[in-house]
Amino acid sequence: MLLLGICLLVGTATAWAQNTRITGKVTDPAGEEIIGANVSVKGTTIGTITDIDGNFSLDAPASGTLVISYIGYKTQEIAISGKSTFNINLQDDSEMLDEVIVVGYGTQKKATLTGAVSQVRGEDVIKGKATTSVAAALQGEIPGLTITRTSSRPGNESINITLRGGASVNENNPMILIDGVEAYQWELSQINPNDVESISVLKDASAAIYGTKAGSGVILVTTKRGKTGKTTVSYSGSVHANIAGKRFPVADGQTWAKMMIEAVTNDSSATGATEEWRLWEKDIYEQLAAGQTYIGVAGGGWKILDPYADQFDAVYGTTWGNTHNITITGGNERLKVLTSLGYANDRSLVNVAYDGMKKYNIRTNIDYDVNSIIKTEFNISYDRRNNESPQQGIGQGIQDMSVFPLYNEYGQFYDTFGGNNVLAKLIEGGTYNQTEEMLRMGGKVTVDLSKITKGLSVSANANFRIRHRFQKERQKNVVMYDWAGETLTGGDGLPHFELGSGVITQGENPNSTDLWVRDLWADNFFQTYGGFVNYNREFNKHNITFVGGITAEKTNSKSLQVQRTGMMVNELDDIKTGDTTTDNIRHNDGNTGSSHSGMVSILGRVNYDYQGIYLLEGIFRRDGSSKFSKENRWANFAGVSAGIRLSELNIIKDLNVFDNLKIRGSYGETGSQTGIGNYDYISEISLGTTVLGTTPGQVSTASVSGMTTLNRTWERVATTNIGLDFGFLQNRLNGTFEYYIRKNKGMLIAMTYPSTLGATAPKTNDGNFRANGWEVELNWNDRIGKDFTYWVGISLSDARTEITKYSGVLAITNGVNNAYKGSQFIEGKPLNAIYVYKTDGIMKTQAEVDAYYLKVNGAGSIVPMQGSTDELLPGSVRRVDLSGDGAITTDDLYYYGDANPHYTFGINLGATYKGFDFSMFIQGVGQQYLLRNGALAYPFASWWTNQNATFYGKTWTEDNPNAQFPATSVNSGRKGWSWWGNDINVNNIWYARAKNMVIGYTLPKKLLNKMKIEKLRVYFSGDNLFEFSNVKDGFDPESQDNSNQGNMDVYARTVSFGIDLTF
Amino acid sequence: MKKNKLIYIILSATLLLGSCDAFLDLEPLDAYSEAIYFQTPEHFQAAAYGLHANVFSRHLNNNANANNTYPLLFDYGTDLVQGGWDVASGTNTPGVSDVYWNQTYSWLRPVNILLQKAEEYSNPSEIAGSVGQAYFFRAWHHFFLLKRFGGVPIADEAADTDSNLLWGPRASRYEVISFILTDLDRAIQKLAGVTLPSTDNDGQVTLEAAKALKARICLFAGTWDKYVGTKTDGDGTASGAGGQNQLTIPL
Repeated sequence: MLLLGICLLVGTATAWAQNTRITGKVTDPAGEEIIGANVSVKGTTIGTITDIDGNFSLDAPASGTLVISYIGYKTQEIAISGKSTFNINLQDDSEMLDEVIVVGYGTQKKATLTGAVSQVRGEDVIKGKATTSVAAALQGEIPGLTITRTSSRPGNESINITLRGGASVNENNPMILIDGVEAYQWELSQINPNDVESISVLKDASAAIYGTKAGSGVILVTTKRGKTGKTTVSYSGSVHANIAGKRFPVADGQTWAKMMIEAVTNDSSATGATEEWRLWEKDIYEQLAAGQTYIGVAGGGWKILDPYADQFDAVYGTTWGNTHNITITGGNERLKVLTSLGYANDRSLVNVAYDGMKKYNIRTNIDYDVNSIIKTEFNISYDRRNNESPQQGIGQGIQDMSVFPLYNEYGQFYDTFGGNNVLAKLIEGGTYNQTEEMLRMGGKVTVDLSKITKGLSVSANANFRIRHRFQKERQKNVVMYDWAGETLTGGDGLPHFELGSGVITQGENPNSTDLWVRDLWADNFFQTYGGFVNYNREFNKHNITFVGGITAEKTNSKSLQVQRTGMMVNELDDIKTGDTTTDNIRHNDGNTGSSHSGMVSILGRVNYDYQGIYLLEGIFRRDGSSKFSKENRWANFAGVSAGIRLSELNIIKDLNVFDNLKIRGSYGETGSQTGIGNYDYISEISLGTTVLGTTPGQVSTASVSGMTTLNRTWERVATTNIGLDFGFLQNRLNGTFEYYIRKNKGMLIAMTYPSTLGATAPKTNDGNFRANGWEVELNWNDRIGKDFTYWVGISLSDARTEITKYSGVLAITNGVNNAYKGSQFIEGKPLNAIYVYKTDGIMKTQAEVDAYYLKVNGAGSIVPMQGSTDELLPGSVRRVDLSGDGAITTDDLYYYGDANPHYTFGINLGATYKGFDFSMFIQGVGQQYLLRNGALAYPFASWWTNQNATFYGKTWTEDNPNAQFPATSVNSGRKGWSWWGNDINVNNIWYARAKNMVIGYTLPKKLLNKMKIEKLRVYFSGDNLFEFSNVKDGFDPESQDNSNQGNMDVYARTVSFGIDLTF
Repeated sequence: MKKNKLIYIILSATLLLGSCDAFLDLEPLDAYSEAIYFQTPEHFQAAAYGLHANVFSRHLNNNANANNTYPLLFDYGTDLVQGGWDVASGTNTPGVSDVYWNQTYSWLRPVNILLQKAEEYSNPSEIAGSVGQAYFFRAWHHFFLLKRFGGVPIADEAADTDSNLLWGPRASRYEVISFILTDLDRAIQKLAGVTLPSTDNDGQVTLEAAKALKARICLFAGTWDKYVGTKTDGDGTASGAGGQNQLTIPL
């Protein structure tokens, strides 16, 4: 700052001096000439650009200062001091310590940062990845930030972001800001990834400056801005193919029939049991198991059952997507502009109908210095996203047995199995359209008051965010046909006309209520204003920086959802074409109504350092929220942090080992507004009617609904953090270590009160939560020879959680307790605590079964009753009576572990050689317990669906008494006993997935210069191409525990080809 | 010029501070709330109408005008309506909660809210009828509890989570009767001026209804006194609330 001031002074003073001819050459660190570097004289309009050989020449005052800049390199300033030739060597811009880190309401130098803040550059984490979602691109990139997705459908990934294991059972999603303005989490997949300059994550006390919203951490997204230099136009575009990755582990028709036969046969040996064939007769299963097509009456209707029918390939296949981006940037000393345009179209793996997302992004960022005192910034962006999906059938079909042909012999959608032809639903069932528009506008004025007091400036800003959402759900009638090509016959499959005569009765729409359209309009207006004072000064080795401000924000929302049924024709989607008597304004599900909320805050941060060695930071925030009554609406939050740069102390310098060594610690408190509605302090009145009178008539009634309490406030999250930054060997090896303890004091929980209260009490601040963990980041960068550079980066983190207080222990349930936003909680255990029964092997003989029954048949035992059709048989497991009371009860459940991902890691590898570049990113989880549930969790979890084939052949039978898994069973008592909720049913998994691989080639500059092209790079990249994993039940390692239809998706592998072109 | 701009900035910052309330005093837009309700006699009347529906009905599904949501089944909540097998084997245990206890206290809450709001109302005479009816229903519900449970916690306020009503001991049956009779006296006083002659009251609680209820309760309490005595409300620890009869019932 001081240097800049001097330069400015020098520049002004020499404006009248005599100009002389200056020549020079600009090279990069490898000695290569830089073409098109910007060379200018500070404080003047004199400037030029280097030629094809990196040379420049200009007339400049002898006492001026040259400023040499080029994208990707650090800007250099050199005093001319009468010299006339210069050889300038520009340094790479990625030098770690000079890196500027974006923090709340400002920036800090990484060297003197004391908080736990991780920052990544957009260029590094997004470049080459096929995903158009910033959130998906961030997965695994930032230690401590766990990102999961349950799908790879564009726009419907169901991304969940958790920082450091979470902070509460209520809300764990970090606050997200785009250029300092709060954003929805889904906006990370709506903004243009190409616009992202950097993403920084505030993990500790540094988040305290965001007060009540920062309890789960803060993610700051900063967009690119114009830079001084000649105008450049760059285009980047790619086209990619999405290919189905791991198929669902469902059985083919033949295997399914075999599994069914095995299970039913197993069951038939129970006391009093007969063979229960459920759907159809035994010989049909046997015919399918033998690989033969069955034609005839089955289950009361005439059916064709084909053991080679395949629904997967009929629905999923390769789809294509593409992205195009144009960025125009340029500027001079006073005006800098960046404009970008983006388009993306991406599809899911469903290729029989469009299921995907189109995005349109426009952004302009302007920096304009009115004069040397007043500086302005202006941002405007418009993001539009259109998601279009089939209204019916998405995610379905995977659980239908693969024995149903999708077409009949007339080429019509075939269905005699309950209106369940997935292809017909996807193609004919209507569409679900959702459009999100987001217009963001913001301005900032900074006035430099150095003339009054050196280092003082004030600024004011205003930002608006206008969100408009339009959603149209259109359901259409799906006509399916039986094998005779008929629909009117109730699907009995039997021909009512001569079979094969070609007479096809077209189906009439049997039920017009199937045809409806539902429109949702939602508007949201968010405004925020701020006024700030900045002060930054050095007093004889003491540096002081201060930022203080006041902000105010307000959100107004309104929405309306209307529905009509009985649409006149299938071709039109407008609600006007529906039956006017069916108008339905949907307000019960919260989609119609309006609301507003606001917040006023006072904030401040002071940084002090002595010689850049001893560092100290203090943060304060006072928030007032409209969500509380007048008396309770204000709360204070604060944070302190300190650090010492040991590497700057002489005693360490003399060792000559460390290039950087810094220890730091912090303590800070933040809040969480989650679980608190907009008007919880005011009781709502519910209106109704009742009948009164001698001549009965309706009268209006009113009563206060629900209950409010003033005895509650924000959740308060306190984070203690200790960090270490280090660099060795000329900073080629550098890294960071963090350890933290995070405590939520006053987590909102639902307490049970005496019913004399007369109402259901709202959640109160009676819970406590704790998380602790660590993060390690190690990077190695080096250069071999002149042309070869390479790097390896590893990040690894873990977090442990505990619900330290939850109004005493509640009942333990078999399975996952303490689920995030769940209802069953156990004090003293982590989030997602798994409780299961201990088992002691599979019983092999009836004698073993009898002996087991004698031990566990006590009163209250949940063991299936002996002598009934549910009884345990050889092949069932023994559950251990841990409590020793002679019965298996919930007292025998024991804590197995938690289902949270642990030791999450990311590995970055890369190298460049001349024009070639290669990079690879691997993301994974080191350990996680997974208790799969739902229809495909184990054989016959739902007997009426297709089955998970990975278990076939590995289950106990008399011929295979040493099998890994228990005997299969369709009986609900027996299958539940052996297959779910036991220790052996918990999978201990890990995976490492190649998230992204890029090979690129940048054409030589000399060649391009003839074509007036500055840069041309072509690349191939692959996303999610392969993975290593020990997941044994056939699912993708990223899949979550629920295996029900609709909760599981096929994950895509993506291959892209792209170009980056700059003029 | 520059000075002017500075002044503007300072001015707008001050404005921002001054207009704090525009960002913080925000009330619901799409629902009635306490903030705008209980402002007119009609509001109180609607609340009082609502109280009339909060009674247990005698019959289930055979009286169109009765409140069928909460039928009064004679054996409900006793061990006689447990599963037949439990009864036969003698292993049934009564439930730990009772629908009549829970439901009555949840009906007492709106009564107390109405009475609390009435205290803040500027012109008490306008809402005398509604308030009288509220006192009537507070007595009614406590009488219901008294008959079933004896001494119970007295719900004289819309409780918060830390109220004495939740955490304090239950009152003795004599305190409950005393409370009921005080409420009925207030009801009688309030209703005296508003009850209309003949059938024009349209099914609402009237002065006569309040008087009749008072007579009924006095008979009930007097009968207890006559046959059970005055010092039998338990010992305060093992059973009952241990209270003594302080009451002189005007016979």
